[in-house]
Amino acid sequence: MDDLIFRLRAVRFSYLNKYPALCGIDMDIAGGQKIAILGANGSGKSTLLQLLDGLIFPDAGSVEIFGRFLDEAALNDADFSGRFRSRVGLVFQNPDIQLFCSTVKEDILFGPLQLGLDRVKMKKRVDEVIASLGIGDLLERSPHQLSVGEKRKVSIATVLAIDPDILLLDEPTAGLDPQTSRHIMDIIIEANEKGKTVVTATHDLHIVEEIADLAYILSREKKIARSGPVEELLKDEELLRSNNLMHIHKHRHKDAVHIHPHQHLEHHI
Amino acid sequence: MRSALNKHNFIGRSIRGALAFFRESFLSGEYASYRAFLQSLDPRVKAVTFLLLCLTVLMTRSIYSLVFLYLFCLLLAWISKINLGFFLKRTWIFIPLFSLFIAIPALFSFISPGEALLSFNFLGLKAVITRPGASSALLFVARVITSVSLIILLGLTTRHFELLKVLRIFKVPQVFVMVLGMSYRYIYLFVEIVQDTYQGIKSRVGEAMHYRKGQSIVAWNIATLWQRSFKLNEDVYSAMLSRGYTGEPVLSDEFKTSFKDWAWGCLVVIISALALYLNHG
Repeated sequence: MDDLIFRLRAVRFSYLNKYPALCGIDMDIAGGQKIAILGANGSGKSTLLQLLDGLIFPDAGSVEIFGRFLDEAALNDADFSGRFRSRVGLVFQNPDIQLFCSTVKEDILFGPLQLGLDRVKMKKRVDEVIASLGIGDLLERSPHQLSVGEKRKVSIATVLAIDPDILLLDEPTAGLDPQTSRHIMDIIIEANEKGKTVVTATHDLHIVEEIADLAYILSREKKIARSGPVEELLKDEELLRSNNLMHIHKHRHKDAVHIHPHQHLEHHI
Repeated sequence: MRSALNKHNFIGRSIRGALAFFRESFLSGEYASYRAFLQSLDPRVKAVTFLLLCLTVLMTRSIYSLVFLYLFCLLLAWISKINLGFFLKRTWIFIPLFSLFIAIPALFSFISPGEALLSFNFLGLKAVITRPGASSALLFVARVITSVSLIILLGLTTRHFELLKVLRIFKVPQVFVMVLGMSYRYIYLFVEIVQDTYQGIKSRVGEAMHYRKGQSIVAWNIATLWQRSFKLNEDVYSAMLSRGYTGEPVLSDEFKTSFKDWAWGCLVVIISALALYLNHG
């Protein structure tokens, strides 16, 4: 793979050296790809994204980015760290973590200001992001005054304002109404069409086909159960069921009780 | 039995009190978003001029100057679309109450000797209110009420985060300003958590709870909240690192002064100079 960005080999990570979160992950991510990391709750999706963002480091194995090991020593190099943070952006699962400033505007400007982006370019970029997400009316508000959907959009804006090449998203549509969920998906698709590499962690199978071409399924054992084209993986009901991504659904049609496997490929209305 | 339990339902009362305080604080924050006179001023100019007015109030020895400054403050509140009833209630009810407790002893001859203004018997003792005592007590109360009104007016007409940013013109380190802003932002998150926790407890055990049980639940929840805040602290730091934070925050500074700010600054300087001149007049 010529344009390889991330290369993970035999990555292991545990919390407090007691609770394993990832047990031997191999993964290659190339430029411009749309990748989904699928897995049930507690399968290690968020941990994996934090590793890719250089917020935590593996206990064993290696994470490489652009051919350089991503470790504490690398991120202590101010030059590398600045370039890395400008090129990789993570949208956290909990927007209340992401939005720590007093106002939405300050939150959006936080990243570009820390990274010392050119003021004129920064203003242009921020204005574009605000317009594309339709959050112009929220700028002077405090994050605690926003709805969940608004918080999520602003969280994405805080990362898009940096204009990273690689966008990592942790459960971007969790808990959102269908319309907001659709808007977030459109933002992800648009970012990829503009050449960004998008890695989305989710267990929402109904969004996967649109936001990813390639998927990695994390198992209960915190390993990669299977990877491959999304269409192919979604057809494998046994794989999805054994990894807690599908369940048997029982419901009533008129007078008859109907039982079938349920994948959350579509929203029930 | 139930009424006795309700009487001791300190959890409910405490939480409702705290939430009411935050709601009021949030609602008063609405005034800062109005399009009116004080709200339109540059927060830096506003903070400095209000500080100058407060210093003038503290140095003024003339009751007439103080009355003028207080009326000026009310006029500012009125043209800034602050509900005067709300403003007077906020300034008069609580804070002067304490100042009166300090001022009342100063009325009497044993603190302020001088020409007697009024004398009466109180519990068999002769109490004399003196002219210097009455004058200094009046001056003290007028100073307190005017200063408090000015500070409350500044707080009502300026967004809290702007007030924090103003600290930077007094050379308060950026990191300190940022931490204060973040604390203010997360207080609301914790209030929501407390509210949700209380609702959760109420839905399971109801309102009627023995106060000992209540104390135990509150203690447990304080510990849990502490753990949550610790975890949040770590996560927020990760989110900051992720967006390029290196330990030395860079904050935006978008204040702009206009002709109106300079005109207002000049007016305040003239008023202060006149009030201080009258001291010697």
